[in-house]
Amino acid sequence: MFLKYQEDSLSRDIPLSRKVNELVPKSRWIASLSNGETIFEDYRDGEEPAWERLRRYVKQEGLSITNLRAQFESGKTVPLPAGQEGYIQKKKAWLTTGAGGVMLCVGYVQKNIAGIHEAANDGDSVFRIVSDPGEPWAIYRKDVRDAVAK
Amino acid sequence: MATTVRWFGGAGSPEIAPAASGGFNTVGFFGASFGFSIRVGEYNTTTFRTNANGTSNGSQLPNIKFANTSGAFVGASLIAEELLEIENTLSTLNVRLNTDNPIKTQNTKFRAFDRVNINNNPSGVTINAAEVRKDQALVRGSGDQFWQSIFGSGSVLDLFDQTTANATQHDFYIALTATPTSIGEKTDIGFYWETEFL
Repeated sequence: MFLKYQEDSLSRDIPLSRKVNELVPKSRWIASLSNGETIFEDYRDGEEPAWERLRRYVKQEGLSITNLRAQFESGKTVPLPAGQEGYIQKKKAWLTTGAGGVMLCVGYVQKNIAGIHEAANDGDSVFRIVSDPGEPWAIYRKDVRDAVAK
Repeated sequence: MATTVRWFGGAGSPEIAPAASGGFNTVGFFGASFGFSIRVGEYNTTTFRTNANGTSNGSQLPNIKFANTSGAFVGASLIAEELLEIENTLSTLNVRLNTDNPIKTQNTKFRAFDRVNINNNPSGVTINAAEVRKDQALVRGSGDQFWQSIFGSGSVLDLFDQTTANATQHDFYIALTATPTSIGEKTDIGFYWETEFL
């Protein structure tokens, strides 16, 4: 398995999946980058979550996420508008009397406001408007990051 | 990815089952023993794992009884302890999150509601809650110093972020105590927990 993914991993230092492989779950987020790459959420032993690796990668390479979407095993997709100031991803685990689960949440940031889709395993989602949750949930566009850094 | 969230009645107590199981899926607060009522204005003397309407004894859970704004009677003790001195293993609830890959958790919240809508208040009862964070007997805890009355979306207990290190298991310990606000059996009470991670 190591050899199979070394092109994905070692050539760019930060391990990321640029195509669907055994590390990519059936329900996942998919990010499009400003250099034309597509990054799939994956799970790697001993590695930090894929969203954290993606954050390090875009900062290291001076890139932006140009779009993000969630894709589910059911075939459903949750698309987001392109070219936003930032994109958000998180998981929300919940438990109540009698039931529990994990939702995949994807969203975007524009002018300090975030629109977030909270999606269940079957891809059905609820859309919420909230204030920008900031890092680590959001990864901002390069010009937004640069403006903050100044 | 197999992520599971379960809750137990205090550390080491049996799991409180999913409702779909038809089993012991409820935390029940009682008076002197199982099935005994709590007087209006008084607090639980015992806590049990029970079924949805509180008629079947599914084993005793650790009991924590309100003593004052920063203290509680733990178990059968007649001497109140500070909330910060309650050990994790004696908490009412242990919520456990397991993930395949190591994560950190943030924005963790705990609510009491009416079993219909998590924004609604529980009915006929006042619930006080506090996060317990004390895993060493000789070291003072770092959880909540004071009880917080929790009700629907109006008052939610914020639990500490667990961001020191990525881990595949995250445990949250919660002390709960209940007092009825009127006479009669109260079943419109549920608890809701949520957390966020990458």
